[in-house]
Amino acid sequence: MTRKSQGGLVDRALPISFTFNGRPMQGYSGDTLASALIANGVKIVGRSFKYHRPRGILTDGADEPNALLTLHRGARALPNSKAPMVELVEGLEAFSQNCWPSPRFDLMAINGLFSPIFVAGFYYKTFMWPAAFWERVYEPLIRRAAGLGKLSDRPDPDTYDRSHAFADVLVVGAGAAGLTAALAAARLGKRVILVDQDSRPGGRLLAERCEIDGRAGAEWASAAIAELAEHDKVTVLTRTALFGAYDGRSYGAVEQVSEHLPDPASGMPRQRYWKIVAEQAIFATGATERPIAFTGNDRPGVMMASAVQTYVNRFAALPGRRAAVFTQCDSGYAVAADLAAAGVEVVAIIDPRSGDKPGVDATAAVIHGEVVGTHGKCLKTITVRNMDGKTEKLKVDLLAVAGGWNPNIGFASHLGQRPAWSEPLQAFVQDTPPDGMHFVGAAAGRYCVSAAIDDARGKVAALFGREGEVAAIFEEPSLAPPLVVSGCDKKAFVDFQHDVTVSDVVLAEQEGYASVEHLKRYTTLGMATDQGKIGQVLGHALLARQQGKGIAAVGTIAARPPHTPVCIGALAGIHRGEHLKPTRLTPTHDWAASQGASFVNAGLWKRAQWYTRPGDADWIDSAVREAKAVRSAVGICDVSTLGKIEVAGPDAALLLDRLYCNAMASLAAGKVRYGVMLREDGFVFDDGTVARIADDRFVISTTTANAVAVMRHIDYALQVIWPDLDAKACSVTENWAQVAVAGPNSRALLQRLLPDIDLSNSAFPFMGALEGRWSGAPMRLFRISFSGELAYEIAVPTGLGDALMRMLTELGSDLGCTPYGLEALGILRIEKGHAAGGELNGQVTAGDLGLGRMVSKKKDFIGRALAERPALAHSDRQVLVGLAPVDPSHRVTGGSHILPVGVPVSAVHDAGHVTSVAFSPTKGRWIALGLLARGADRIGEVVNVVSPVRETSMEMIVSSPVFVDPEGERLRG
Amino acid sequence: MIGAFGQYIASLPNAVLPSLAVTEWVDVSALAVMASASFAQQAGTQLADLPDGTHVLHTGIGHWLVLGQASDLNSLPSRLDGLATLFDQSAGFGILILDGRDAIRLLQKGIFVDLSRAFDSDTSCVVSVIAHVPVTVWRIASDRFGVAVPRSYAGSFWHWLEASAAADAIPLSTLG
Repeated sequence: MTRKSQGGLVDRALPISFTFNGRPMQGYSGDTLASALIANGVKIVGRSFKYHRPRGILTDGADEPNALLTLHRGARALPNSKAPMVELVEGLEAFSQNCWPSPRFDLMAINGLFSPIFVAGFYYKTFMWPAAFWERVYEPLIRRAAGLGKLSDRPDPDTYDRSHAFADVLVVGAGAAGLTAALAAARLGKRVILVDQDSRPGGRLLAERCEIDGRAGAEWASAAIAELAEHDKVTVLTRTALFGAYDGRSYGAVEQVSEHLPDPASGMPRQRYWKIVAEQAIFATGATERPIAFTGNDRPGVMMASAVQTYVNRFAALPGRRAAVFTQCDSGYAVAADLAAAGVEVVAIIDPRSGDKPGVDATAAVIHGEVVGTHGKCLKTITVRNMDGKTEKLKVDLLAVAGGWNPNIGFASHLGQRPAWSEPLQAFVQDTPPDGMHFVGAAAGRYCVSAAIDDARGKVAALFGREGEVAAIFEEPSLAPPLVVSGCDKKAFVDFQHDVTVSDVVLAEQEGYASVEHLKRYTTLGMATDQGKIGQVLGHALLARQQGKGIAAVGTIAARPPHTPVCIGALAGIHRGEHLKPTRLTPTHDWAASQGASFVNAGLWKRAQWYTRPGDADWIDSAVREAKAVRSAVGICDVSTLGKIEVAGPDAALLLDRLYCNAMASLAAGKVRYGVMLREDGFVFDDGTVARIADDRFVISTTTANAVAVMRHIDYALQVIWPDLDAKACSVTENWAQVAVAGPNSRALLQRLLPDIDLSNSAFPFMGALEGRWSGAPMRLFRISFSGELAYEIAVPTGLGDALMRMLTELGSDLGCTPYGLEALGILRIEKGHAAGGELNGQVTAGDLGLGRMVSKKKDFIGRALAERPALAHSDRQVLVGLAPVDPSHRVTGGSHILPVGVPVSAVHDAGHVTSVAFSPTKGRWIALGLLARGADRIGEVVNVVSPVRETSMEMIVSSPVFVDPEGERLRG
Repeated sequence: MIGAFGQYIASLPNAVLPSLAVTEWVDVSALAVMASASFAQQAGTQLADLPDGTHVLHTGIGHWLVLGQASDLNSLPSRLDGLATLFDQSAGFGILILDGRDAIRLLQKGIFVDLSRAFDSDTSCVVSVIAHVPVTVWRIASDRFGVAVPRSYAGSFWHWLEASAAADAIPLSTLG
């Protein structure tokens, strides 16, 4: 154990047991997995991505590139978890990844021997041929050799929640600056949301030995949180990582809800996805410490100095016993002092700055020079080269590296704002962040605590018109540029997670990849899950050096969301499995289920597809039985999903005249007319019926698929094209349960249901409509037919739909009343030659569907002008036809191509395609509808119907699309 | 008339002072009222003095959804004659009443509209979506809200309600 006996913010009274690679270990409440591993003396936690080099914990935050571990087993296995971000929980199981059999001895480390050839662009240069090998051989092999962790491939047993929040001020980060900003805004009475990814607010105050207002930083942070809790307009979200900034001042965040709990309550989600909208967002996101590129800078035992400080001060876990600090900024000296105070022997501070005097006192011997090498599987010695070029070896097991700071400003780039290079800060900053976004504290280059607090307080005051409270202008310090030690070799890493070295960057530049964007894609610098937070600026500085430019001229990459990796499950929330999309149930769904219905998704609707009965061999049997019942007796089918729109007002008839290509104004009250709507471009948009239920009120029906689109179309027409029309339209689809009652016995059945209404042919003829009452509620009856049989559609309030269906079933038991589903509906309409989804494909005209004569020549309507284009009336157009196999035993399939007989099967001879197919009980064979060029002139012609996909071919006879009752006697009977 | 949420609410326990009570308003009449811009103000005036217990939801410019007992809405066609067009939606919605201190917290979880600012007048309401389900939400009293859901979506909405309440450890119950 390397845990100090006292100090730190862990609770030694609450020990926690966990395992790492199966080895039992112990930590304390307040530990992260990383701090617990360090306290247990673990040096090597995994292997690197490409070369399988041994790697140890490098950082203390979400930018950790090395300690990517798999947590848990089985379905809950969670790969690529960053150890510094994992709260230690009782029973936690953690495993190294990308190594076998162990991180200390990994057979794939053989990759390291080939590192001279595994340089940037190796894959592009090597795996170019044969092309077919890429997907089947190369990529799987490469992924297996270099992959990160593995998903369980099993359903995620956890649940995820979603929430929305709104605020005047969103503060991101609960360090000194963030807490100050939140307090300032809260004291002004603002609605404040403070998010922090850590379990404990405080940020660097928890890691550094500093005082604010005479109190230790951590104590001050606790007091700040306590005060924030007193404000009822303040929400503090700990364990919550903001991951994206989006339009409309909205932000995405993920809260860890139960990951840290050993035994979460039932129903408690693992994570919660927050969508937050804030007028102002203050980013107190701190800064990420930069590494220094030198040979062997990835060796276990080499750590970022700020991380060392965190583990020593916050967690009382010592990453080493004998340390050196390689720093080019004053913060490294503070780390050396903290190490010394913790009892670690600090051998030397290596500072490459020659003349600058550090702003803090050195607590160890200072060597003005550079680290040029590290040695040992885990760090044992370092080689230091002083200003005179002399080298010496120092025996250390810990090297803390402080290469300067990169303000965390990536969120501004999410909204397209590029960062700018600051010469005084030697870092990229955001001078002109997007509206409503403000960077404070270290994120604005105010690295020292007092400056960060002043900055945050001043910016909040300025935001809310209290300029008098704005603090004095901050004087920016002069800091050192990103450092690449001269002469470092292939083992000097710039991007630790993707194993991108100094040599890779140099090679890429030599090969012409001169832009940071090209460099990124060629070397994969910054493309790992840390998005280059650690090493990207270092790489860009190196590129600039190679080109003899300043880094400002080279620029940097724009960060994109997510800022940190996000589980897909968190984004999906409850929308998974059967709840992937909302489901709409018809009013008779429960009845249909009780009748043995199989359901099919029709948009969001669940519609009965067929009803299985004893003796049905398969679904075709069921559908054919149901269709026969309609042709011979009576069938009932829920058609509530069809769109129903009421149009009312003095100009309602005029509106419909303009919406439909056929006349509607002349429709008498109590009558129904079939109508076709065109799009502006003249093609068919939708079809349905129009019923005039009063002089100034109509009910129109749409297809199920276009119910919303037609409503939108009408709203557009009323609001934009003809706002002067005195008419209103309202979707009433949800208000009515509508049931089709079809077949020769339909009148008899309905007469039993509605004994007080005369339904005789003379009193209520074909295409009639009436309103009445049933079961004490309004009722509408339409005599319309989609099947070609005597048929009606009856509509009652939705809540009565189930009762209506049960009553029809009961009343029709001796009439052969049979429920029928979508498949039988399809059979019936195909036999009758009615167009539906397969035919209404957005590319057909009314003429193509044989409805040309419906198109009015006497009025204007949407689509008229463009429908008159010559091409839309050309004699070569494909039109609706019927098709029947020459051999009655053949079964045709939808989508098959239609070609003349005797020509090669090729696209040039393609004359059309099959749009709908069904087995026709009336004809005793499979029949089809199709769109065929000059189809009307080809009735009786034998054509070749080919499906290259299914490798079928058959001869079919072209016919009229109407296979049943072409004179329409049945439906008028 | 069978309520859209009846089968779900029947499974809830009774509670005397729950943090969130869920009931369904079943015997409701609903009228969608649409007025042209030139008559919208007059129509709004006519809707302002309907009997107590009637809920007038301003769903858009010149648009209202009026909910209440059928007898209280009988006068609307004559009041609004020449001013607005009425459409019966009485069977189109399942209407839940959410009652209790956790009601707005739960609703805010689902709605991407700032509810604390949205209910700024007696007739204001929110027309939005929760979990991709269309909803109209209005405030009845300080901790009492109405939610109108198209009937066909009732099952999906209930799934969201249950899952979201469970995620925040909010027990669902009916009023005892």
